[in-house]
Amino acid sequence: MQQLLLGIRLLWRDWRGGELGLLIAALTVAVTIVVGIAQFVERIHGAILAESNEFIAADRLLRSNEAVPEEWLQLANTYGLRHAQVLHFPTMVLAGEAMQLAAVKAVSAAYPLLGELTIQAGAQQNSQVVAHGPAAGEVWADTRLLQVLGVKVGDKLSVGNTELGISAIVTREPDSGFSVFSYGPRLLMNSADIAATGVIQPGSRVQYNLLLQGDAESLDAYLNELRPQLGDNQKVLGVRDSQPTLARALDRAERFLLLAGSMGVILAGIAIAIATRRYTERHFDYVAILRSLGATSKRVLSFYLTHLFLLSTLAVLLGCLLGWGLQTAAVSTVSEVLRVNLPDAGARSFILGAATALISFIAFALPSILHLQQVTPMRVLRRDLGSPDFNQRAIYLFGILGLVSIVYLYSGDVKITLALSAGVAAVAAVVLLMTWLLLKSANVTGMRAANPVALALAGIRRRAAHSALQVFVFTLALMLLLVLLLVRTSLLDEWRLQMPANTPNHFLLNITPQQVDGVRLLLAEAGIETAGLFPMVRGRISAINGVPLAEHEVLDEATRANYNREINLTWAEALPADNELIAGAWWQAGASQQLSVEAGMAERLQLAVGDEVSFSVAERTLTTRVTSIRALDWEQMRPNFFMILSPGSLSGFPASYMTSFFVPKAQSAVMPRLLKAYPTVGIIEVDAVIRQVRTIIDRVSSAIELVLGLILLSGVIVLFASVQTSMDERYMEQAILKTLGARSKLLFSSLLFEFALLGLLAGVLAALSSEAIVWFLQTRVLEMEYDVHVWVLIVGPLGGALLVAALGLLISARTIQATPMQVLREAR
Amino acid sequence: MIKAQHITKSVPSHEGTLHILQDISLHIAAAESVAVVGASGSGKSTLLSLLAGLDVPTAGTIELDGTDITPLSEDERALVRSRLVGFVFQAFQLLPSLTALENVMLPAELKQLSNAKQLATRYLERVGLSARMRHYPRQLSGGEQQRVAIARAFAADAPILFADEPTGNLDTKTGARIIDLLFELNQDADRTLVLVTHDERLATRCHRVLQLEAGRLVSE
Repeated sequence: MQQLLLGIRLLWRDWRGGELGLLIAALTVAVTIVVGIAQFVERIHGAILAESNEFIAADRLLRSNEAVPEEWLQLANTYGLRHAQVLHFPTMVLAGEAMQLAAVKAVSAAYPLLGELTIQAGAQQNSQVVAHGPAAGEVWADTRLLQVLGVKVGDKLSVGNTELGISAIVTREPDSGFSVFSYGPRLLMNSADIAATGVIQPGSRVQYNLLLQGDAESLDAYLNELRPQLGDNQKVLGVRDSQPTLARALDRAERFLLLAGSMGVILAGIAIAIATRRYTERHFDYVAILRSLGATSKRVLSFYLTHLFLLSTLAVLLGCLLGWGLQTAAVSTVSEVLRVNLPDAGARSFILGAATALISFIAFALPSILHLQQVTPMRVLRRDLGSPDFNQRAIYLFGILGLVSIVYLYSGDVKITLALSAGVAAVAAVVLLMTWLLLKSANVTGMRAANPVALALAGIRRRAAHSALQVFVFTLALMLLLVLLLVRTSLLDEWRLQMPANTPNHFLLNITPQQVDGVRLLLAEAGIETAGLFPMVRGRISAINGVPLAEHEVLDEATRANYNREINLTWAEALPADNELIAGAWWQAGASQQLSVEAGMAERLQLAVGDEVSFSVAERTLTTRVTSIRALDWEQMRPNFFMILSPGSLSGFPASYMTSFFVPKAQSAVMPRLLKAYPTVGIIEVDAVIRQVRTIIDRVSSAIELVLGLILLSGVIVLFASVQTSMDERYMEQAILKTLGARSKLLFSSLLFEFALLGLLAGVLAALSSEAIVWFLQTRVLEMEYDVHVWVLIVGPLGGALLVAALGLLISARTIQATPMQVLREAR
Repeated sequence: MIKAQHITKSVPSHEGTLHILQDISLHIAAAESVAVVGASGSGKSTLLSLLAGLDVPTAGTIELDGTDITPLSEDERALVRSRLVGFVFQAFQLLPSLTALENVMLPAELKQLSNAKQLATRYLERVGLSARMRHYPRQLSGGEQQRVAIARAFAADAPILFADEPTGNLDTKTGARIIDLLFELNQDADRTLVLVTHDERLATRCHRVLQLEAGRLVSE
C-alpha cells in the first residue's frame, strides 16, 4: 500500500513536472480515436441499416408462394418478433363500366414494421405520413388507378365479390420497389378483406410476404429454426437481397469505415510507441538515481508498472469521455444531414478502447519499461555508462504484433489486417534499407555548419538511425492518410457514377408490337430519350446440347429447378451499350439462330461458345447456338437481358416490348397521357426507390467525410509527436551552435531544409506504398475498379515536405528563439 | 566501516584487457573522512563506485559495515546502499521533475520513513535553501543544486557518504562554500566521508588522503 502511495506520489510529481504530457496525450488520443470512431461507425451503421431496412418495411422478409403457416407466426411471437403479412397479386378492379388490372397489395394491421407511407385524403389535399395501411373495408389507390377508373377518394370500387371504399391516394410506400407483380397501378387493401373478395383461389398467382422485425439475435435464432422447414419457393430476404446497388454501397461503406478506424488505431499505436520510447529514454537518469539511492530493480519495476497502470486507467477514462464527446459532437453535426435518429452506441466501443490501451501498453510500453530495470546505478557517475542495451528487434516485433492484433480486434477482417500489415512491413523494409545506405555513406566530418543545406544534410546523416525512424513514422502516417483519401474518392466517384441524375425512373412493359411506333412517337414528342425499345419473348430452356434440361446430369437439381420457368428472350442488332463480350464474337454474318448469354447465367448453366440451347416458346421449339458470352453491370438501372438472340431468330413468336427512360419532374405530365393512350401498357415507377437509394448514399458519403476528418487529425497528432521527439535531440545541438555564434537564420533554414527533406522522402515512399495498398484494397477487399492516381505521386511528396516542415518549425520555434543559456540550462 | 582487500577492476578493450584498478586494499574507520586524489584516468571514480557498491570488482572483496558486498546481486547491493550509503555527485543528479524538497525527500521515501518531509525540510534549512524548497532544479543555480544534493545525501540518514568531485562543476567561491557546508554537516552527523577530488583544499580538510596513480594506491 505504501509502495502504491509512493508510486502515485512520484507519478503526480512527474505529471506536474511536465514529463508525462506527451505519453498521456498519445494514450488518450489513441483511446479517443478508437472509442470515438467505433461509436460513430456503430451509430451511423445502425442508422443506415435502419433506414435501408425501410426498403422492405422490415428487418427481414420471408417470401413464399403459399400462405405462411400459422405455427410460424406463433413461433415468431415466442421469439418476441413483430410480424406483418403482405400479399401481392394482380387482379381486375372495377368501377362502374371501367376496369383495370391492378397490382394489389393486401396488408395486415401491423404493416409497415419499419418506414412510413405517404397518403393524401384527396387529389388536392396535403400529403400526410402514416405508419399503417388501410382499415378493413377501405382501400388506398394510386393516382394512375383512380384516373384510369375515373373515380376519386370517397367513391367505391369492386375487387372480386366485394365493394370497398376508397379512403386515400397512396403516393409512397416504403417497400414499393419490392414485388414481382408491382407493375400496374397500385391498390392497397386490408388483408382482412381478402376472404370476402374471393379472388384468391387455388392456383392464383399470389406472393405471400411475412415481414419480420426484432433484435438481430432473436431474428437469427428464429430464422435458423425455420430454415429447415422452408420449401423451394420460400426464401428469406434482407435489404441486401432486394437492393443489390444499395447493398454493395453499404458493404463498401462499412468496410471503409472499418478501414478508417483501423488506420486510426495504427496511427494511435504509433503515437503511443513514440511517446513511450521518449518517456523511457528520459527516465534513464531517473532510474539510475533511484538505484543509487538504494531502490532495487523490483522496486523500480513496480514503480513504473504502477505508473503505467495509473496512466492507462486515466487515459482510458479520459479517452472514453473524449471519444464519447467527439462522437456526440460529430453526430450532432451530421444528424442535420442524416435526418435520422441515431441509435445509441453500445458498450463495445468502450471495451475496444480499453483493450486498445491495454494492448498498446503491453506491446509498446512494457518492453521499454522492462529495459529500465537494466539501467545500472553507474550511470550517476558516468552518463555514457548504464544505458540499457535495448533489444530493438524484440521491441519492434512486439510492437508489430501489438498493432496487428489491435487492427484485427478492431476490424475483425483478415484481409484488411493483412493489407495494412503488409503495407507497414514494406515501408519498414524500404526505410531500413535506406538507413543502412545512410549509415554506410555517413563518413562526413563535422557538422558542416557553413551553410544551412550542408548543415541539414550532415545532421540527417549523423542521426541516420533516428532520421530513418522519423521517415518511417512520417511515411506511415502519410501513407495511411493517402490510402484513406484515395479509397474514399474512388468510393464516392463510383457511387456518383452509379446513380447519375438521369438514372431511368420509369420502366414500360407489355408494349404490343402494334403500340411500339405510337409509344416511341409519344415519348419523342415529349422530348424523352429512351434506352431503346426491347422486344421480349417469353421462353423456357428445354434442352442443352440436345439433352432435356430435366435430365441434364451435369447440372445440379437446384439449377435445373431454377430454370424450369419462363425467362425473357430478346433480339438485338448490336451489342447493347455497357455490355462487354468476354468470349466468342457478336453476330456472324450468314448464320441464324445465334445466342449471346450473360456470363453469370452461362456459368450456372455451364454453357460455352458453340453449345446448343433449345427453348420452348409458345408450344414450339427453337434451337440456337451460343456464339458469345457477355458481361454486364446489373447495378445500372436499365433493361438487361440474360439471353439475346440474333435478329430474325424470334420472328413469328409473340413478342411484347419494354423500355426504360428518365422523366424529369417538369415533364411528368407525359405519364398520365401515355397511360390514357395505352391503358394495357405496364408502368413501373422507380422514382421513389432511386430517391431513397440516393439519399442513403449521400448520408453514407457525409459520414465517410467526417470519419476521414477524424483520422486526418490523428495523423497530424502522430506527426507532431514524432517531430517533438526529435526536438529533444536537437535541443542541445542548437544551443551549442548558437553559443558558437550560429545565427538564428542559419538554424532556421537548416531545420526547415532538414524537415522538408525528411517529409519529401516520406512523401515519396508514402505515395508509392499507398498506391500499392489502394490497389489491393480496391481490387481485393472492396471489389472495385482500380486506376493509377498520378496526382498522388506529386501531391504526396510535396504535401509531405510542406506538412512536416511546417510542423517542425512550429515546434522548434521556441528553441530557435530561446537564448543559448536558457537552452543549456534546460537541456540536461 | 569500509574494508577493501586486493580489489582489481579490469575491463576488456580493443587493445586487450584494461586494468583500471590493481590490487587495492584499504580500511576506512567509522566517522573518518578520506580524500581520494589522483590524475584524470587514475581510477578514482571507479574506486568510489566499487566502494559504494555501484559496481563490482573483478577480484577482491569489499565490506561495508561488516557486510561483504562483493558476492551480492545488484538488487541486494541496492538494499545495502539504501541502508548505508549517501551520495553527492559532480553533476548533482537531481531529478528534474521534482522540486528541491521532493528531491531531498526521495531517499527517506524509498526507505518508507514517515517523517520524510520533516527530515528533508530540516536539511534544506541547514543548507540555507528554506526559501527555495518549491523550486525545480532548472530554477536553481549550480551551487544551489549541489546544496540540494548535499541535503539529500544527509537526509538519507546513511552512515557513509560518498562524494564524487562535489565541487567539480562549481566556481571556486561557490565550491569553497559547498566544502564548508559538507564538513560542517559531517561533523554534526558523524558520518564516514569518502571524497573523490582534484581540489587540493578539499583534500587537506580530510583526515586522510589516498593517492591513486594508474590504478594503484601509491600513498596513504
